[in-house]
Amino acid sequence: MVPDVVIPLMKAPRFRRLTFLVAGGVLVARAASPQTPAQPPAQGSLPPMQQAVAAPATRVFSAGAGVVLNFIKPDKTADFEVVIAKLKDALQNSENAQRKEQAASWKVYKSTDAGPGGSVLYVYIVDPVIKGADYAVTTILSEAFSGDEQAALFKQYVDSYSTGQNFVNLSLVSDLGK
Amino acid sequence: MFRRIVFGLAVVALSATSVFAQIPAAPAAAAPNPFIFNGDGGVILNFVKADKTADFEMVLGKLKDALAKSDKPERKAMAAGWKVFKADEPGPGGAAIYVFVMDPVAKGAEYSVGNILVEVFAAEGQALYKTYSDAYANPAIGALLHLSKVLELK
Repeated sequence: MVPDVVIPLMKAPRFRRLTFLVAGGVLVARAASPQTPAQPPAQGSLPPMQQAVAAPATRVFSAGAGVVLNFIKPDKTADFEVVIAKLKDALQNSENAQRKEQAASWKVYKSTDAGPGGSVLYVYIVDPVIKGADYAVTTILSEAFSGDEQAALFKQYVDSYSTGQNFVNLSLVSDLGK
Repeated sequence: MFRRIVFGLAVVALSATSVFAQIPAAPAAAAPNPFIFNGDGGVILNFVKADKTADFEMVLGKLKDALAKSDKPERKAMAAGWKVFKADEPGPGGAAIYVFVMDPVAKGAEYSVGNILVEVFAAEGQALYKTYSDAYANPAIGALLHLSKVLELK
């Protein structure tokens, strides 16, 4: 047998190193970058409700596919999934044709492996990306919901995050089935 | 534009070679094989030395050949849902990040690149696997995720 490198998530002896890497692990981008993380806003910089109403930045993938890793508090997964269901509603009910295109290739998964610090990892897989489309969840929600409902959804969404997101632009190297 | 991404998931500072030595040929019965995905999807983040990407991609080309040539139906099923991407953003230490996305997974099939290469190419497969292993950066794998579908947004 020829083994591959085997790295189970959250192996206890690796915890200290894992924590260190996670602390510096969120996407770092220039302030002017269109991918500057704004969803959720930087933790601790604003009280939750102010975070929730902060103007969202755009989230445009620059490559043909994308993956977003979302680190969610273990006691907030239900809240996060409620917001994701509302996101689906917003995409499906949008009069903007591009939103329906986005929905067609956007899937949400939950990792069965424990994440750093006990977080739960939700993974967006977007394949293919709709070029130029804005994938900022808060922006999409704001198009479909308003007032108190919107504010409540934003708060629920922002508060569910543990350590933030990684937003990864992916270029296809090989489709092994074609 | 300078962008840098560092993955914090299960990053382990082990070279492929050292892992090779640490993993027994026959894993303990209680330890699940991490290259078997029993859910709906899987993602593996591979960190590759910046000067070894050509080697890594050459082996991936052989992997594609191996899956196509295999007589095993599960290998065909694996190929059908397995894509390899390269992240635009550099990884730790300037490593290139190659992302395997398995969607859908062939449930119960083993996605060990080394085993597939050896299964089809025998001794050549061993040599290919060495090239593959040598291309890994340190750490080698940023995350190996077993995924259950929550929702399709369509």
